[in-house]
Amino acid sequence: MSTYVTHSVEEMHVLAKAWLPEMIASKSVLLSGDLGSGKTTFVQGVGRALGVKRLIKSPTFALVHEYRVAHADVDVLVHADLYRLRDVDAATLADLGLDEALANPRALVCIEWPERMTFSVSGMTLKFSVDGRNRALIKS
Amino acid sequence: MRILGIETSCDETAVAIVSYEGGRFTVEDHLVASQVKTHAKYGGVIPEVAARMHVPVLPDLLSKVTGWKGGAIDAVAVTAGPGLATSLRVGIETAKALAVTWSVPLVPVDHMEGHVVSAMIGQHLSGDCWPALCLIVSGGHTEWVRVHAVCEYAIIGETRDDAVGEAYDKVAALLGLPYPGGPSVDKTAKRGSSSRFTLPRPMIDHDTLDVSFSGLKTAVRYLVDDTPEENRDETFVADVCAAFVDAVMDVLMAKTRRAIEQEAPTTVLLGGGVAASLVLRRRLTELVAGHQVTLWLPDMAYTTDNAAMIAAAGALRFEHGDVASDPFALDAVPSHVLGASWI
Repeated sequence: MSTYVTHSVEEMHVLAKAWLPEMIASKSVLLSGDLGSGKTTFVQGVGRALGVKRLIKSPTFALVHEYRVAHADVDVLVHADLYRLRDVDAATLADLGLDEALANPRALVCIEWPERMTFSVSGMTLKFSVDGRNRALIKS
Repeated sequence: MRILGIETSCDETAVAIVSYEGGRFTVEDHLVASQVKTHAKYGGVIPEVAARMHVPVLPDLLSKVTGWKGGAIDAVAVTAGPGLATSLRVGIETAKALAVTWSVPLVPVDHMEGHVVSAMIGQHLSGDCWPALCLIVSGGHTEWVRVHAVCEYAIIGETRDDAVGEAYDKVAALLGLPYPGGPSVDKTAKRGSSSRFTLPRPMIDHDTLDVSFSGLKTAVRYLVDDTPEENRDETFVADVCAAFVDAVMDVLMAKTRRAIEQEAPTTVLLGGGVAASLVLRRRLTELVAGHQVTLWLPDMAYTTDNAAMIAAAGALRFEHGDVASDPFALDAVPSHVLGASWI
């Protein structure tokens, strides 16, 4: 477990790029943290590192956004946000298409608000917090 | 023509019968059953519960507006996306059954297209209305749409991160105000002063029609974090709300003005859940007063999710020839984009 402090969006995107191989190896990334703590900004950095040209918008309302990717190890970036949901069980995860995404070896799945789930899924976990104007990330 | 509309994309079950003759819509019947209270109890939407709740309610509403007689109905329109897959399917499967039973065409409708058309209800559509510009503002969308003509849409500007409705909901959560954030923030803002705090107006001078509201949400967060808890009284909350609403409206108006100057539309339309905001309606009315355009604001009843707008959009699609070639092949498209094909 290590803590990283970022001072800008660019620094957060540098981290996202640096951790990309590790994220791809873990297949999924679970992003926890309060509103405005940088979760979506981080995923925008992941998209940029993967070469996604489209805007990576907040998936809060739509719940899941998918982006086609041309990368040696990844075909699709799946960006989910469970903020609006409660008691997300395996059936709901399946409704959202996330079970398929998690089973797809060529998908990188980023899930915001994983604490809304009634069970845990494996993956890289990132905990975001606001420290003044900076963002602290705890990676484990 | 006379068309039945069905809407079950999220947490509202709605049906409507709309007729369309000579460029005018007549909403004959329109019923909405909301699940908002149920979901508010859980503090969020449970997709499985949303879908299950549509199941008993939809036949009940349909029975009331049709009496199960399809004799005078020329087509069935249904929201096929975007929305929650399981909820969409309740409406789609029902619409398929009715269309097949009554031997009438099935018309898939994009939910956001419904919001664009919502402001056309009550107006007289003719070739002179176009091109039009539509500002859609809702929980999941913030877009400027060029309407070349009926059924011809192009998104010319959009949010790069959070939608306006989402920003309202999250700011409400940061300030401890109730969900949904739109009404509670607007109401609280009325008691506050917008001059005490200055919040950023992201991308207001940017040379595009794109906007960004994530930074504005973060700025509100900083204001809250920087203020000791004992000072976060009602006045503080009201003043932050007032500053936030001002910032959002300034950005929306600056971009709408830019869009009007760039597109030279004949008509400006407003749609989406945030179209219920009286501040937004007033600001837009003031803005267009300085331009040679006609403003169409949706009736308040058609700002929240409803089936009258789906039936109306379906009527335009029907006349345009856009009916499902094989009704059985139609499935929900949870992330459908306005104007894209269905199958």
